[in-house]
Amino acid sequence: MTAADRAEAADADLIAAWQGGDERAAAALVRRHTVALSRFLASTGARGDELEDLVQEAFFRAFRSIDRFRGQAAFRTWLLAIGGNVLKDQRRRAARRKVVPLLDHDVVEPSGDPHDHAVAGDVERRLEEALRRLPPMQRNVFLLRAQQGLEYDEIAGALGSTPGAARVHYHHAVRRLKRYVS
Amino acid sequence: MNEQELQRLAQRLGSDAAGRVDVERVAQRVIARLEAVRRAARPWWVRATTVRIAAAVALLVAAGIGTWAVVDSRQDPRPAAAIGWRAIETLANDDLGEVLDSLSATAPVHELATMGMDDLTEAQLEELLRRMEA
Repeated sequence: MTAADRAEAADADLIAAWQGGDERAAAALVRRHTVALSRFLASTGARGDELEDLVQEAFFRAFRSIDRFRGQAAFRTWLLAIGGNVLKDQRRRAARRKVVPLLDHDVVEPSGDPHDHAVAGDVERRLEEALRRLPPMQRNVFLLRAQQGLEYDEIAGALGSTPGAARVHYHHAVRRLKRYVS
Repeated sequence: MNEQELQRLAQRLGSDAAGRVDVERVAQRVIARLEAVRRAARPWWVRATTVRIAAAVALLVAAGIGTWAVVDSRQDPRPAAAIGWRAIETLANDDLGEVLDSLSATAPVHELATMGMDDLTEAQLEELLRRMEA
């Protein structure tokens, strides 16, 4: 598979190539999905200084368990779900070390990156704070739907829910966010 | 604020932080970790170091066998008497009679001529051998 082929290849083809031993296919998948994964993790509360490590760990876990990926959802969807679990595990470890205690089980640790706060507009900052106040499932459903553009059946598959439940979570999230941001 | 405005805002969220992630570095580190796992998972007899050691041992053994074969081929394990005895056994009776006639006689010639191999004394056999090998 040439570089041009890898740029055009579907995720499933790149996955098959990697399983056949083509490391460059794995690298192509990383390049293709890093930005979306980073945005998702940053929006769910990952700090700027830990973001790259979290992204790397999410990809590593995804490739290590690629045999479990049956193509029932898009690769990106599956990757975002793994990313969410990586962040959750990281928070749990931090809580056990008592280095960065969780404020509340519903509240995600606020971003400690001053650059993010300086750049983000006032409304965006309010949205970030509002997202931190949401329960994790509502926050993830909202971001997968509004930010990543996924359909409800994909969201349900990624989060282990049902399309109907995902729809309800989304509308709950929208109602609360409108109230906080406005 | 309506839902569409919320969605537009959500799509901008995290962009700045994501823009600071070094995509190539992430790709290289992921590949390096995966390769490290693959190397560790290989059976010990497949690993490169083990293969090199096995090849070196095989070369040493082959060299040793070759040296032994060369040294061994220079030595003839068969004693002279065995060579002579086989030669005597292949002689026809007439030929054997001629050989016996040439012996410095310990027995009369006519007796020697009628003698078979089994009739020869040790001394006669040794003389026979000596003449054949001369």
